[in-house]
Amino acid sequence: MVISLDWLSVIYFTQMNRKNSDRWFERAGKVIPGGIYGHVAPVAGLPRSFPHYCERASGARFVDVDGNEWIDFMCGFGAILHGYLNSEIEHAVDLQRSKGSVFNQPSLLMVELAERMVEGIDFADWAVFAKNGSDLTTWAIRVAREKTGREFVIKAKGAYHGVDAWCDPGLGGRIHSDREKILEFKWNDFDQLSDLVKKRANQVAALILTPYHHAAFAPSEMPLSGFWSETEALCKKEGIALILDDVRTGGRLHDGGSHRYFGFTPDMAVYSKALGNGYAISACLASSNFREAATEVFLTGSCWNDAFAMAAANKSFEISQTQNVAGQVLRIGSDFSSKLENITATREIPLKMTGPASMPYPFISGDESLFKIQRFCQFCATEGLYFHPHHNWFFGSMHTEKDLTDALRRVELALGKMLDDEQ
Amino acid sequence: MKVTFPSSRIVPWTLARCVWASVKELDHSNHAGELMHPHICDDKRIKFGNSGLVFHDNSLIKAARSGFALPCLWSLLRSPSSSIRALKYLIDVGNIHNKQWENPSFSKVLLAAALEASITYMNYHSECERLVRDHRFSSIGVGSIDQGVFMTISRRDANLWELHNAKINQTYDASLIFANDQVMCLSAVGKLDHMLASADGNIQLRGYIPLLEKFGYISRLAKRDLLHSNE
Repeated sequence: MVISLDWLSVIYFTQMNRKNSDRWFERAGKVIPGGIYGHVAPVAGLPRSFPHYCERASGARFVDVDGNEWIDFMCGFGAILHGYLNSEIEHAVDLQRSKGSVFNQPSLLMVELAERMVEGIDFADWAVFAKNGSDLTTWAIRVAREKTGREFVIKAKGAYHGVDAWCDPGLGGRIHSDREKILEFKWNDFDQLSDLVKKRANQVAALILTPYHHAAFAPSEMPLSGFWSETEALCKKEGIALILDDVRTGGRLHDGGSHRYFGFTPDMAVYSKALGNGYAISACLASSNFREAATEVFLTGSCWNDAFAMAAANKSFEISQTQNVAGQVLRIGSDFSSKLENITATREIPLKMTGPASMPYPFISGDESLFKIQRFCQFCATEGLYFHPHHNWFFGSMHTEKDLTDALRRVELALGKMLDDEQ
Repeated sequence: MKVTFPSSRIVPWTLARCVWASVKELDHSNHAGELMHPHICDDKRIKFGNSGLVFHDNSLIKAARSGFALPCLWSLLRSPSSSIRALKYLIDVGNIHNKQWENPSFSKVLLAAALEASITYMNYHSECERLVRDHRFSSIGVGSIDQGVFMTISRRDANLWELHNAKINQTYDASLIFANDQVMCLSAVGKLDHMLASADGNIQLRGYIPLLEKFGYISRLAKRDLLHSNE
């Protein structure tokens, strides 16, 4: 299904001041390839609607370098769960700041964090830490290979597991052998998965999956009934390590890990994003079966013992567990999404927020080519709403009633402008 | 119809297709398109039109890089009148690409060649063909802010992508809109940083962005090969 190009307004959405953003981006373009790269590269979003740079953020709002205030629905692409500059987390970091961040040896915070996470995540007997999700999704599949003595890894087609050559979504810098041992199946297609396993009997080391399918540029897909139980049983039967990539979802579906939201048990799970509430940290947790293999696969990084991030993660995880933050953000997201769907429906825009309520992906029925959602988000941006057209949104516990009511009011204004523009 | 040839001939074949696309944009008559329509021959030669000029693969590559190369003389003698007309087109296209690429009045000629290069790679370069093979999205509208869409890239059956010098659909899966003719020229000759241009508004990408990302990657790959591959 495609949409008429007449819908594609060629108007520049420059109602907001973006002079500084553009000026700094021009400087960046001279010394940084592409100016800004990766998932926050302008081309991946709405380049003339979203600012290029942020100056500061607090709670659920951020201010760009031109002084425009935005109500944020991306939460640092998921890294912020408890609010920008959460006072409890910042206080915990401040306490450590007087002592230092990176030393020759780890700080005691690393032990405390491992204990806290092992206690809070039911299947886990041990934990290791790094900085990014990619660091540990890649390490986890190596641990699975070490444990099983097998080579192949299965993943869902279109799933994102990081920036390494075996899984990155880019197109360049790859050689054939990078993915020679990576097999793919269509998410939710258990028959296809079991066929792959059968075809490579005793050769598959790991199956790595996100708890639900949250591909960019497409509606999210929840697991079909029975998918996880069948998958878990298949892995157990065939001796395949089931690795849960909970990097994006961790903390937003269940405080004890997203596997509990869907009722299954992985062998290993990787967390990052919300774990440090904005401080760079990732964790891999696993059952004791993988402890020995884990000791054989080298793991380190320049600043991976960073005590500030450990302090932040300790406090962030504690808040999540004691305040049932996942439950809160699911409720917040559900309430907001249903109101947003209702508002757009009154304007005959069939917007559906897909996936879990705490991190929904916006999809307009019949808009596979995404022109309509891009246009909707462009108009919302003129009202200071950071609604991403191609990526799932994120809710956090900091989204207050006031923020959300204000956001819905701005949606009404944006829709009014959008419909005026069409006439 | 999709032709078959050894993968080593992708560069001269692409160059010939670029010439054809440029000429069609330069002269919208059917005659020009027919006269310069390339045919791949078995003996490392490429023929323009049914009875026209014939170039050795290496001569075409040389022509693209140095601006001049001789066709096979016997082809000139066999049909001198159509060969001379074809040579005239080749000289005109060569001048535009080599000397007048900053002239906005030739922006569409340059753009047609650049788009045709990408499309040829999508059809005939095994790695590029694989990248777009399973894509369920299959049409891109190309244009400018002032003029709207004026070219279309679309896929027919059997994975054959084509360039149309017109807006052929009311709907597209993605669109590539240039701010003006100058930006179009720069982009066509590969002198525009695509990431910066899409951020500063010189290029507007809309619709299914992954299709445009693949198309852009393929176009850069094709450009690199056309400029630097060994003869």
